[in-house]
Amino acid sequence: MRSAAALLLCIVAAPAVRAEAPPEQLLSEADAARGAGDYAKAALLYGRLAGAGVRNEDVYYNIGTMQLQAGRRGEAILAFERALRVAPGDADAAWNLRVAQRGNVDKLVGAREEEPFLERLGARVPERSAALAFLALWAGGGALLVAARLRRRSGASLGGTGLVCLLVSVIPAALLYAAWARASVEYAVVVSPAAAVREGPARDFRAAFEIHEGLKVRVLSRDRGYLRVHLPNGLEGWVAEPDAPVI
Amino acid sequence: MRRIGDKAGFRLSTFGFREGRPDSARRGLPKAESRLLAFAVAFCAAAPAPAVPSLESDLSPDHVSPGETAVYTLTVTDAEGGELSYPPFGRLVVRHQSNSMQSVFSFGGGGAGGVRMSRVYTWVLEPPAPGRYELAPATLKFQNQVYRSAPAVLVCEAGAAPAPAPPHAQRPQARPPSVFQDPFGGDDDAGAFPFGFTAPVQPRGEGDVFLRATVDRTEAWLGEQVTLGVYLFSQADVTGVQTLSFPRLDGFWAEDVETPTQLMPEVRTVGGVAYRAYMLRRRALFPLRAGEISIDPIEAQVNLGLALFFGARGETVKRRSVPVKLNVRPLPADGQPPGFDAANVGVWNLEARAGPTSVAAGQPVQLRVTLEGTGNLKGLRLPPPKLPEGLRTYDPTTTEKIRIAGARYGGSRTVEYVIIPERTGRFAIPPVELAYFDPAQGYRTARSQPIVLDVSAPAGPAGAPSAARPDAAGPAGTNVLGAGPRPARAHPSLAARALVPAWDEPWFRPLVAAPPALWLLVWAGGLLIGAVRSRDPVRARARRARGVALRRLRAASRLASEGKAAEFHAEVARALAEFVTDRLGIPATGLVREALAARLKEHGCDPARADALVALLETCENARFAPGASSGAAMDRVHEEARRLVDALDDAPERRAA
Repeated sequence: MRSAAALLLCIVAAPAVRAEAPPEQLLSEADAARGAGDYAKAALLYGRLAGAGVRNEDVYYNIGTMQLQAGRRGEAILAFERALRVAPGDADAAWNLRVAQRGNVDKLVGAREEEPFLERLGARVPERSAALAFLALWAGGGALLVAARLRRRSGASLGGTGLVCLLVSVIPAALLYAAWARASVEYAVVVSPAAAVREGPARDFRAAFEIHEGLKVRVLSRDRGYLRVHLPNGLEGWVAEPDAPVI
Repeated sequence: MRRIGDKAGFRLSTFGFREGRPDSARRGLPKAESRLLAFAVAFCAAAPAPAVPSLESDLSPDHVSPGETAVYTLTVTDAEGGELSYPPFGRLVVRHQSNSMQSVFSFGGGGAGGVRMSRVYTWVLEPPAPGRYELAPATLKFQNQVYRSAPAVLVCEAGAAPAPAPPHAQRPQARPPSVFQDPFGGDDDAGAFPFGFTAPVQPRGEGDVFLRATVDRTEAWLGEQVTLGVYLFSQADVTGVQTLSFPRLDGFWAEDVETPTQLMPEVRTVGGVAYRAYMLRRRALFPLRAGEISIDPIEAQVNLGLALFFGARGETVKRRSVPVKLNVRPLPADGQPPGFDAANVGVWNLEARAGPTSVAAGQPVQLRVTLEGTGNLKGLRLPPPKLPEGLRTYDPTTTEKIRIAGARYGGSRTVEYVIIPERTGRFAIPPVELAYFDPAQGYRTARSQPIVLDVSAPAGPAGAPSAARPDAAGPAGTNVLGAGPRPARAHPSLAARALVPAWDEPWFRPLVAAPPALWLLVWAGGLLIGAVRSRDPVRARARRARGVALRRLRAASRLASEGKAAEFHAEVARALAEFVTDRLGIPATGLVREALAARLKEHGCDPARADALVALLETCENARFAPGASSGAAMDRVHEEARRLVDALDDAPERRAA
């Protein structure tokens, strides 16, 4: 009796636990849906591709483009932001992001510059190249100093070269710091047509104001499914995470 | 009760003709002049007349037809504080009752005269059926005396009264709006109503102050304007209207068309009695549903005042109008355009203008549609223009101007659209059409003129960003290429991009920490080795030998620069000797040159270097005693050679501890 019940459970649950299709198949289905003009389905399939671990600027860019075509600007802006997070120099994603942001309805009174200088610099730094340059200069300079210490008579020239390397390594280190500062700040994009910003992290709190689809907000903290967000003009409040997913 | 010329005197009433002055007298002297005259005469009077209380009654008319009313009046004079008992009216129906104060200045023939105060009580009585109705005398108790009025008899019989005015219901139901141009044209008859309105059924002689609500028609189409007028009729002086309360007016869209800022009386006669009529408000009502709709009574609180000359106080009375009923007919089905909006009733004209009509693609064009006429402008629904494909528009801006002409509500509405041509070519904007119902002529359609737009290609380099959509292809085959989203990528990479930042890679932090750690390790090792070596003074001196020798050579160089050749060579020889002693443990000063060279070679030094050292020491020895033979260049060569030998011999094995 028990084995029969287990067999029945396996039969019923089999579709639910079916393994995700391989990426190649998902890609081909997504391309087919895109070709047929079913942009919503194409966006869904590209999203499943990203969910399967294929996270690169191409996939995010295609998700954004499909969402834009399907009329979901908030989702499109979120995907383009993610593409730029992966590849800051992606010109297509940057262009389509600007196109999608034209439809934003929130005009922030008294808003300052969109992001601080350090974060904007960090967004443009190829962080891996900066890291490799820094490590090369840093390790090389250190090695030369050690050699200078070991070799007393020719140590002066070695030590000088090592110091120069260490000084030069400050430049990639600063760029790396900017990239780190950028990466350590979280942003979210409003994907709902309208999202209430409350005075606390629960539905019971009063809605202080409302933000709309496509607005990018800075995330300060999280609590019980709510994000504490900061707007460029200084407004702050709590918004439900499903309304504004983190980039 | 008419006292004109009675007792060789006459009366002046502050209520004007309330006391029955003949019409000729009323019309002969303006009111202000009459009062001035009375004032002058009053001051000429020698002595006041004695106050004699009186009670008088009057019934007018005493013969009425069925359905008509009679006015029963009791006048109590100079009996302020007395107790009045009016007779029971029995089966007579009291339609209205009121009372008022009068100040009467009377002159006696012999100079006796004075101010007399009268209170007048009025009842409007209607016999329920033909017959004879007797009214008993009224009684007044004042200062222990009883005054009685005369009894009265009211006879109700068909044809008893003078021919009444035509019943209001038999008057034309609706008059054309032109009657508003001359509301007081023509003399007024008994029961006739001023302002060109059809009066509702209202009891005649209902009192000295009453409120009337009238409409300019009792039958109207759905959505057609019906003008409601509110009028105050008074025989007393009206000093103001405190409040005017309208009912909810359910079933109507209401707009004010006239709200006078001050009371302007007109003399009108109602039921044979002259009144001052004040127009209080006029409103345009647009029925929103068909059927019989009732306008509930309107209330007003009216201030009645007395002339300042006589110093009497005023009073406030509240009056209600009688309900008014309207029969609203639904719009006819015959000829009704498909999709007709029932709110579009009135008389309307449409006009549309656009500018500029020749533009480049992407440049805005302003289209202005103006609707003008009479009717319920605010309820009107104007359809948007049907723009051909290739023209994009945004939400329009709407402005309205209300205009009231002859109590007809109307005005103009202007709707402005901004149109953006998305492609080149010629575009014909069809006329804007509005189907409406004209109550006089039936269904009509207002049309604007068609508009033609010529759209040319925008100036500037090809591909410059514009507001036009990139997918808009004009009939002429010209594409306006602008800024739109870029397409999706055909072959996206399936390679997962490393999303872990470099600083979180496992190799990053060890590589960052390695150089300083290695350097610290070497430094610490050096310290440790130094500490170990410092325990053997011989070896310590051997390690310091090169440094000491180099310091002496620098000192020698300074001596050479000062031209002290002997001291220079002595210092160089000392530096070399100490170096050999400390570094190699060979006492250079106690050996002859050959023995020194042999010991150096024994120690493992390069023989050439050993010979060179011995030779240099010999050169220095010779130079110490013949300093004049040493030039500056020679000293430099000696210094350079000594430096070279120190470095070379430094590589030789150290001396071992003794």
